[in-house]
Formats: sequence, structure tokens, C-alpha cells
Amino acid sequence: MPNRLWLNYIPYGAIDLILVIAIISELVNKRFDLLLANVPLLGIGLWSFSRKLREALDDPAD
Amino acid sequence: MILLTEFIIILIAAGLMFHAWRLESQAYVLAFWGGGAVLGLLRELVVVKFTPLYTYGDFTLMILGVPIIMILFWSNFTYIAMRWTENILDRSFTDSPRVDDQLPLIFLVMAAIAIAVEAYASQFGMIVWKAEPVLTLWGDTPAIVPFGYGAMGVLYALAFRGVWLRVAGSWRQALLYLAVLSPVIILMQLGFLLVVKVLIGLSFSA
Repeated sequence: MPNRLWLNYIPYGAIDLILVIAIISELVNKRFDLLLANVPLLGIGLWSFSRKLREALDDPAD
Repeated sequence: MILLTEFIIILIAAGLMFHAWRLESQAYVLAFWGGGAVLGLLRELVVVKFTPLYTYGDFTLMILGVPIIMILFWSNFTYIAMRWTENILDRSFTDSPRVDDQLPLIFLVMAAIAIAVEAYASQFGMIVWKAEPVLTLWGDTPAIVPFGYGAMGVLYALAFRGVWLRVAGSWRQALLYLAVLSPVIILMQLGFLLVVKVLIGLSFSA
């Protein structure tokens, strides 16, 4: 299961990587006004990944 | 920082291609990223040369004056939007008989990506906006930009699905069809943006 889960995580990991770089750079540059711009993407990503995670954990084939 | 961003987008493209190769096939990867590259290159050439929307910052890796990350851009983000949407609805986008309920979600994911990515890019002057918009978002990004991302994601996903279902796994045929469709997709996206711009102008101008 861990390999399958890692594979499923790639489309989320790609955005996580962008968000981490974005948030760090916004904190370093003291552009706190930009932090809110990351919230919609973070919310949709969590919604989607939680559904995938639940499906993967429920599926005995995984 | 721009160079680091270029490296990260290329790294992400490699990761997503690996994902698509494991879940679909090598032909799928070649068709999806090949078609997206043609679309991205053509779109940037058209938009930068013929419209007063934006120019680029100091990118290092360029092809024909277009940053390589712009060439990978639409494939990467449309692929992510398709996968996120599939996971939300628990249904394949490419193989499903009906996709009308998936398109708004693809649009939504692409718009959210636009808001975050453009806010990040604004710190380093990666995109220099030439237009003077009535309404702006974080990082002085014109409010039409998320609509542009959303429309492009939906149009490219639909075009790819339509082509992929017809070519029976031949990436060369798929690439040819997508290259032919690219100007149509670009015109449709720019037309949609014009309508959105007029509506925003009518709604928010003093």
C-alpha cells in the first residue's frame, strides 16, 4: 500500500512543493498580504486528497 | 529565485509524467505533454506578440523567446486539475462517458492554482502585466487571470479527452490532432477572456 499511496500523492505533492516555496518566500519577503492567496488551493487540495486517502484505505486491493 | 522556480516546474513535470506513465501509458505521457507543449508555445507566442497583456521577467531557460516553464505550464496544471477532480468525484476523466460535472471542478482547481501561482510570481516580477485592470487580486494580478487558467484547463482537458478516445493509443496521431486544435483552443480562451474582461469592466468600473 505505501507505494500506491506515494504514487497517488504525486499530483498533490507537486502543488505542496509550490505552496511551500510560495509561503516561505512570502514570509521571508514579509509579503503577508499574499499568504491568503494560497488558501483556496490548499482547501481544494485537502478536500480532494482526503477523498483519495479514504478510498485507498478502504480498498483492500491497495 | 526565478531559476529555482524554473527548476521546480521542470521537476514537477518529471514527477507528473512518471505518475501518468505508471497509471496510463508512455503514449499518454507523450501525447499529453507534447500537445500541451505545442499549445503553450503557440499561446505564448500569440499572447506576447499580439496582445497588450504581459511580458516576461528574466527567465533563464527559453525556446523561441518563450520560457520553458510556460511550455510545461498548461500540461502540468491541467493534469493536476484532472487528477484532483477525478479523486473528488471518484471517476476517470478520460474514460468516463460523461464529464459535464467534472468541468466546473477542473475550472475551479485551475482558478485556485492561478491565484496562488500568480501571487507567488508577483514577488519576483516573473510576469510583467502591461494592462491596467479595473479589478486586481493578490500581487496586483488582473482578476481575469483565474478565468484564463480555468478556461484553458477545461478546453485542453476536453480537447485531449476527445482526441485520446479517437486515436486508440497512438501518441503521434494524438499530437497531430492536438497541434491542429491548438489555435482553436487559444482563440476560444482569448474570446472567453474578452467576455470576462467586459463583464468585470461593466460590474466594477466607476
